Amino acid sequence: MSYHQKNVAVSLCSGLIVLTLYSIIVIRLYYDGRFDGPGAHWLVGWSPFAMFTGGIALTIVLHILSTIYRTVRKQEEEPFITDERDKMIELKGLRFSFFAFCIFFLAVMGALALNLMGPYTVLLFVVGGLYVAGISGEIVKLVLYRRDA
Amino acid sequence: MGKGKIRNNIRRLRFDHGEMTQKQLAEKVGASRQTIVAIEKAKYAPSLELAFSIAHAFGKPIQEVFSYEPDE
Repeated sequence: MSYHQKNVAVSLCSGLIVLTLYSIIVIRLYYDGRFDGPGAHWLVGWSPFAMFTGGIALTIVLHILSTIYRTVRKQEEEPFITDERDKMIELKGLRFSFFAFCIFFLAVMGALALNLMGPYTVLLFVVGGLYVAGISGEIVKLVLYRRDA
Repeated sequence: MGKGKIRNNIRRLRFDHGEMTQKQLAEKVGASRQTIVAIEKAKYAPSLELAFSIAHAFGKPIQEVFSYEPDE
């Protein structure tokens, strides 16, 4: 596994952890009726900030831990080279994330148009969708790295 | 227009150059070892710049390192 593959794997792990935590918290708040009360807009507004801040912090911690583990285990530093193939894989992952988010966004807006969800629920889904799209992009990157190796 | 395949002689050329390792070649051309592995297995077509760098690393013209096979 190359340096970039390991980084993608770490980002994927942190994304999955953050998305799981976010889903658990939001579902719990939803069933507690917190999105119907007067402070609902505050909760919805802060949810992406909490999610992205938590996500960034967790990613940094996981990167540090994985770097320590790799250095201790291998006793050598791997060269940090980002070449054209890494950039191409990065772009393909980003493109897939974008399309995944567009499809997710349209599906959620369709649900709003059909009155299947409330506006706050839709906003929460959109925030979660950003992370789902990011995770799907990381999976694509990992698949491309594994397929060409 | 069909997509052709880019073949290469990198493995043989590495062998001819004192059994140069993939890592050594990667360091010479400024790419990662994984990229060299992918190019060698013809799973990744390098850019013109990288292709010329690889040819230069072996001291050969590009047509002796890479060849193009168009689809029928």
